Amino acid sequence: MKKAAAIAGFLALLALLVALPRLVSSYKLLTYTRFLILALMAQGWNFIGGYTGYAAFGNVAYFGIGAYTTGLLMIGKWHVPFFPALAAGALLSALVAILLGLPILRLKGHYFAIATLGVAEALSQVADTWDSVTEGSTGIDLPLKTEGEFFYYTALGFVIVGLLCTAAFSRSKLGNGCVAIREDQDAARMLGINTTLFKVIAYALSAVFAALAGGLTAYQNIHVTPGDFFKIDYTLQMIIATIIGGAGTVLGPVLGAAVFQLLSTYVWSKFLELHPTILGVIIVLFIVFLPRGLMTVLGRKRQRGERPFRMSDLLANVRAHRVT
Amino acid sequence: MSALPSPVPRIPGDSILEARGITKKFGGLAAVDGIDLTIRRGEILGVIGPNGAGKTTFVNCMTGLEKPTAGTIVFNGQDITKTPSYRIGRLGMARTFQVVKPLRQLTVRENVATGAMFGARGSERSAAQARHEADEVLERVGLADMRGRTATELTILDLKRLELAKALAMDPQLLFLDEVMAGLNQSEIEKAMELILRVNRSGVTLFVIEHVMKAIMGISDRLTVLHYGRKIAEGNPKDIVESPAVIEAYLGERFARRAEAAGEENALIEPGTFLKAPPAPAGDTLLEVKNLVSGYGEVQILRDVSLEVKDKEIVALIGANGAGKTTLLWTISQLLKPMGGSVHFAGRDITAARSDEVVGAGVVHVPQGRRLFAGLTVRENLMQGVYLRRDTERIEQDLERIFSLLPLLKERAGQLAGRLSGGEQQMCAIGRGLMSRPRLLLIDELSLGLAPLVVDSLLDLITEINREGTTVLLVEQDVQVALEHAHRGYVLETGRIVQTGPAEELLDDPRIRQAYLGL
Repeated sequence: MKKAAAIAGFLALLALLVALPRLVSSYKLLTYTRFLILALMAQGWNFIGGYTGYAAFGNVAYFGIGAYTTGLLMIGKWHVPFFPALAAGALLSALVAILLGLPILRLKGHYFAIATLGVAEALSQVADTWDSVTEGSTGIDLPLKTEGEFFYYTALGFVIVGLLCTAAFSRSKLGNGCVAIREDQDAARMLGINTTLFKVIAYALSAVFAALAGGLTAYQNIHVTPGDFFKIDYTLQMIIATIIGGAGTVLGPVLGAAVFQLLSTYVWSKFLELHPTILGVIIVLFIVFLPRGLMTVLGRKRQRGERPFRMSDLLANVRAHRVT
Repeated sequence: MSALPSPVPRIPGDSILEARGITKKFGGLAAVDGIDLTIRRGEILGVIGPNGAGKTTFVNCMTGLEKPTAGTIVFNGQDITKTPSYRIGRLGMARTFQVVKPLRQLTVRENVATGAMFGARGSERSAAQARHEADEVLERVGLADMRGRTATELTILDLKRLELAKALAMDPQLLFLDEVMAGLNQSEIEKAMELILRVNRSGVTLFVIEHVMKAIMGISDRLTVLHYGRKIAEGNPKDIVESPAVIEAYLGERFARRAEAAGEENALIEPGTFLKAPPAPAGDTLLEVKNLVSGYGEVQILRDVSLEVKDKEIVALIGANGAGKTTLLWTISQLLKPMGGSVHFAGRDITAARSDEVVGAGVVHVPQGRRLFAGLTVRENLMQGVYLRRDTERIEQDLERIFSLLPLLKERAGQLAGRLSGGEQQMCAIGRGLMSRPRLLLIDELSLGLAPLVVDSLLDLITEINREGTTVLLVEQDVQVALEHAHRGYVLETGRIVQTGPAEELLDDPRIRQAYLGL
């Protein structure tokens, strides 16, 4: 009964999203496309950061690799069409993630975060200085494509596939193993889980999603420069969206991306100057009161009819995350 | 235990695991130093030894969590010395962790299902089948009612069960149990023994590390004693506990005297044999707890507790797991604010006072699990106890006094607390408490996970500091030991004080003997 209602609601939402380009202006559609692309990145980050519990702070590297690979293949002498070029970008990202993941996924906690941060910075420098291929800081220009609907529907398609992938992942042995790694790596090893393999797979998955988002954004923006495509903002946005929504849940990243985009757009339109400050405060409040994300609010209400916000959560959160 | 299936027939000389010359060095220190050990198929091999003897490190080496510096391990005829731990798990070896390692945010069922997914028969099962298998295992260990709870909601007793369930779900042939009974009371220990025997009879070979002597004597086919990383004795359990080397290294003289006094094993739990506490002083009331109500969130744990502790007294607080002993100590030291009732200390109302005011008044809490600062040295940990003291000139003097009471700490003063063995950590925690110059010391689970000999020396320490004028309220799972060293005792049951009296009377009380001493 409840399940049927949920499915009906979901289908209605889907129908609305499909019909959306006919309902809103092309400028507004851009905002929705941006939300979907953020959702896609967040879904990717969710595999490594949410399910596996590794704070990857450099996923923008794969966003950038996706963007550059897609762009260079499209404008090079082969003139590869968009989708094969995008697929090549995703594959290359996965490959890089596997090669980099093998050493850096041995690090834990802050060290891993810093290593990933370093990787993103290093790749940004490569893009900046490898003039013969990337045109350095001038950047590259992709073929022009103006139909906003194309980007919207492509992103929507990817996000839906992403949802299906995440749902399958969370029920699979792979997903279960990744969660075990997040909860206690030694215990996971003793339970027979090949932790290195699982972590690398989760990391590569997150790279694929970031690369898809990167390639799509590149095609939409036409112009790709190291400064625009390797900036840490993307990494932060995907992390914040995932955490607001609920890390390690199927719907969380998408929900979080929607809330983040909504807030960001709204706050921006109201407080042009103070925009980052106010957005920052809102994010802090979210993280303090809802450490496990919006999905827990829905889950808690469904399970026990408890109040969704409690002071004790704040205290428990502080207690759980103090440095020991 | 009568309904147990008969033991698995054993083929003499058939070994499931052969460890030869196992050595594990950390820095220059050998935690395990050339141990040869054979585990026979189908047996229960008990392993005892003082804290820091290398028991857990040995298990870590066997299960691949740490790679031995030297030596070879052969499991079922296959050399696994260099095999990664996850593959060892799939070969049919499983373990529990002394400090439980649940997958915290997952439900009990998901925890166990993970074992079933990746264990020896994991490749035969789909994720859904593994979850189904988990239900059966939970039934076996008596956790079926808890399957939907997340691991964080469980009590320590259930976490230990979960630890076992996770390991069993891996369908192991050889299972290492690392102190699964620490913190259980007598009747819980009986149940745990029965469960362990059942697991063994179903065909699992067991390697059991345990400090609870009664349990280890009751279930082991053979007994091995480790000391300073070496094997010092092995053989029939009864012979082993009478061996002078084992008594000296591990059991302590008191245990031996007790055993000798009655000439048989039962004497270990004969009450009143070796009463240690000095004569009871007739001081004024120091701590007065009246009608205390306390708990967490909406869950009430203490429902109307009243007790008093007189100046210079040692009072034991006993009761089953979950009775509310720890909650009571937390509420007295105001780490947990009471919902009702009052706490008076030295005539002053400290109900709902800030915890630093409580410490300032002279009430110092040595928490369960020690809670040391693992990244600080022993000396730095001890110095954490002096924050509220103004008599700076006497601090050095007190530090010297603690080092003279606990010479082991002096040797280790520069070491990180996280590297200490369990007994040393407990000493350090008590030392840190003493550095605050308490008038009243609250000690939670003094003997948890400690070797008998260490427990003896800690109890001597408590008698000593009490003689010097410190009042002690002691929570202790080992009722016998607690009451032998206390002047008076209180019995807590489901949040209420159900009995009180002089320690000797409680020791001889048939109800207490039945409930906590398993007689």
